Amino acid sequence: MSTQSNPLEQFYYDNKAVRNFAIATIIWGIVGMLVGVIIATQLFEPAANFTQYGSFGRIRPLHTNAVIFAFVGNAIFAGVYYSLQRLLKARMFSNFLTEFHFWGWQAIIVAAAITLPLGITTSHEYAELEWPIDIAITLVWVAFGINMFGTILRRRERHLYVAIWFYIATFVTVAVLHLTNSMQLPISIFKSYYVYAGVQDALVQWWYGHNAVAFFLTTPFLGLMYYFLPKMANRPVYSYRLSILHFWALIFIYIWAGPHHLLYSSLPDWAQSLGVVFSIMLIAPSWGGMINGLLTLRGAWDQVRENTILKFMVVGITTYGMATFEGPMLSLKNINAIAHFTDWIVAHVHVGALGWNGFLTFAILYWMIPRIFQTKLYSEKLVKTHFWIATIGIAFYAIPMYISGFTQGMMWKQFTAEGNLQYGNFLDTTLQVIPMHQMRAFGGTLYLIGAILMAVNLFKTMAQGTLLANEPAEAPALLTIDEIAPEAHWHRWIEKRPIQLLVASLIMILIGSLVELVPTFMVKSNVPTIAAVKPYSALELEGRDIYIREGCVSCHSQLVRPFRSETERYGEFSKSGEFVYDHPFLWGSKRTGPDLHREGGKYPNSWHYHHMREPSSMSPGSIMPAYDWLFEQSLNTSMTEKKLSAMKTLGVPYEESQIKNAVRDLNQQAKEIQMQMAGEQIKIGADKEIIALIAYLQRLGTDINKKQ
Amino acid sequence: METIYIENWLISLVILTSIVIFIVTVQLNYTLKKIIRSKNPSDRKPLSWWQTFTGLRPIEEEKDIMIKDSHDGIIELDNPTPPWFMYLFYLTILFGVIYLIQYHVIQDGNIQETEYKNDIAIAEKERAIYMKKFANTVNENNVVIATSKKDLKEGSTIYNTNCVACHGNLGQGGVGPNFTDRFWIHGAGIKDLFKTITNGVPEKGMIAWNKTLNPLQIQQVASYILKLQGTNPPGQKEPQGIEIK
Repeated sequence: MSTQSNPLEQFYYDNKAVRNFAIATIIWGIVGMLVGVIIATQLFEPAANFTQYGSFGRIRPLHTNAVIFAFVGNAIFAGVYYSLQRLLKARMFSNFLTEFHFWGWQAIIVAAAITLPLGITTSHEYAELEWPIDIAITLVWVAFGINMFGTILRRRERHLYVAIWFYIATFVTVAVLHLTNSMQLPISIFKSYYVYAGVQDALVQWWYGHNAVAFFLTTPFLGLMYYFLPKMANRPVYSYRLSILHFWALIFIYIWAGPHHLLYSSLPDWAQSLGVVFSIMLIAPSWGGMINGLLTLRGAWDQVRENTILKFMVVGITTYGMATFEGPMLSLKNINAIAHFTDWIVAHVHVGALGWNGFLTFAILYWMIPRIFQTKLYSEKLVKTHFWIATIGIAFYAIPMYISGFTQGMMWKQFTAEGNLQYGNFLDTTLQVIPMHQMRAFGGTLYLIGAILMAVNLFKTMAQGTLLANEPAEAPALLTIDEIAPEAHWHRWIEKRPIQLLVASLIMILIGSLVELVPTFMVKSNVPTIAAVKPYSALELEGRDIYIREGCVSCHSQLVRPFRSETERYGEFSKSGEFVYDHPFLWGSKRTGPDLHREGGKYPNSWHYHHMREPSSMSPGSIMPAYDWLFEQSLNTSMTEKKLSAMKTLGVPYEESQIKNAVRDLNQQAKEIQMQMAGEQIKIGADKEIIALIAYLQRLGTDINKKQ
Repeated sequence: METIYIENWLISLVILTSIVIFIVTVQLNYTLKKIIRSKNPSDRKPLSWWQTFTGLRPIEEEKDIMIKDSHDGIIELDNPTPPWFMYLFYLTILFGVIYLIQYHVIQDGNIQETEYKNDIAIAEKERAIYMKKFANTVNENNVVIATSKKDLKEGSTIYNTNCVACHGNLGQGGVGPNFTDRFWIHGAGIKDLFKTITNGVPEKGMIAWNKTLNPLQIQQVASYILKLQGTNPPGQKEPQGIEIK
């Protein structure tokens, strides 16, 4: 409580930025969901793969990036720009930075939408964008940070409200994650190799991937919830003490849980165990947000019955609670053993994305836009329709995917009494879940229709109102810390000190990060070397880059887990020492098709040739798209030497002569494969891309069997 | 299911302990509050068990716990963190500690390889028991050619899954010998064939199939293979062994 107060000052809130980000949210949301429906359709109807630019492997990252960074990202910025100014009683720090942030972010999204279908990708999930775009992201993110901190430093409100703690933690953690997971050595403007390899690369990626969920999809939305929910319901926040506890516990514990994406992999056991236990400890801190949200509605439940915006909030917060309970359960190794690599995980993330991120975003847009446009919503009825259609959409999405995931997970493990795999042919398990995939696409379509209804409603609302671009406000100037009476609660101290809050958040997230990452990089025993494992030949490396370009990793893992059902199906389980030259790792996270780590030598070259040209000719009923263009396009070898040389820089032991003769060696190996296939009446040029891909596939996982 | 996970008993233990600790804590908390309250009669009316557990105060008391600072009109209440929430948090921490001690202090931390080896051992034992059950029905001394349609169909399925890689999809041979000519290396009759499939010829790369197939299945596939003789498919491998008419 202030002992005195300064005279009132006049200023203006920037609503134009809020409107811009809101419009971007709506448009990109529809784009992202539409791509989602397309790729969902491709998973039961391979004919829906149009040309190489529209094949599943290339546009699946377009869907994830569009939804996470374009839809949710813009929603975060819209909500933060609205709430931050009002919570701090100050206009955004710099109009220029606001514009730069807005247009910069949209330019990055457009760049992503162009490069991903072209196959320009790093293959790290949710970090697929190549290095020039990574640099652009860094610049825009820093601009956002300066703009936010500038506003905080010019605030007229001494105490930082809990929403702002979450915004600060989001800013600093995303910066750390993005920088660490973007360490790449550029080969050209469109191609780079990660400096990390194999197990280490996998750990960095999933430390990033998991915490992108934590600090891009969770913490900023908790911040938004803490502002918008009490505003919408006109109720006090249930517990200040709970918000303190769950904020610090959440950011501290979340960062540790990344290894739960790598259970039963070649990641050392100790790191996996940390992933398990910290995931379990995450239940309460995650639920802290849900509890504080739902209890804020105490005494307002009659409003929920009437108010569709609050309904969106309640369902959103509830799905958050469900997903954050399910996540830790999926981190238990015996559940993970069934669920991992299946649709179960897809169901899990979509409950979070469609429920928590989607519904909160819808609610916030419906609440904010009439306010900044000084009008009422164009149609309350359309909001209601949107709510029900989207809720049913989630159910139609999630339930079939849970069934599908569980079915597939169990089928993979089913043995006959004789001790053989019941479903020795992987395709049987894929075909089994096709009806579920059809229902999922239907659910997704419903959700998309809901979003389109919202777009119509909100654009009509904007048209009938007038934007109050600069909203006048007044507040007394900021008191210095000395002018404020001492506070009862110890935590009040840090709430007045944004820089200290930033540093404390940074320390919190660095502890878990360093404990997991440093030993994995420094302690040699974590990745036991295997002498037989040798670097890829030039042709195989080029083939690997085609594998990356086509996004094969979206559907095929390269990680045989130490289960009897997998060693029986695929061969010896994967060892960390086998991946030491893999920049980047390609373990994958989903098995729509079978694992490929032991693919080498399993089939003749001709099998791969026919299979890539027309998958169903070798595997009747296969849902894999055909890759005709690999048979027409010539392999570009202009970079081959540079690629080998870059790999050498990264520690792959290529001889100088191998680098110098890279193209010659490549042509020779290609010729051998061509000749071999010619013996089976296959006519194909040795320079075609398919030859490189076959060379790579035939090398996969074979080194370990070579005699020294 | 393939595995009896070690975690199962550990998790049960943790859950059981957790429930016990939980009940004790709640009871203790409840009793203590009762004692304190009885000494302080001026306090508010006693809370129900449910109110204590959830930490919920009657909504009418809200105005007493409002924190005076407002953030753009948002007021925070000074409610405690709900007790059940705290118990949950402590329990998950306890789980973490026990988990790490169990696997990385008491055991050697080599979790997944140990688990894998146990799995394989269990499976092999089960397979041996299963195979034993069939040992008395068919063996290399009493085996005869199966002629029923069903048996031959089964035999063909087994052949296509397990044998084609080396002997060709039509029995024409490849890495392994041709089945369609009259030349045999290890004997031509059903009994010889049964023996060869069962025990394999390891020095030549023929796997012993007794670990994968039961005797009945070996009889079926052997019968199917004998049917291939004289089919004269394209791309036959050169004759090997002795001609037997």
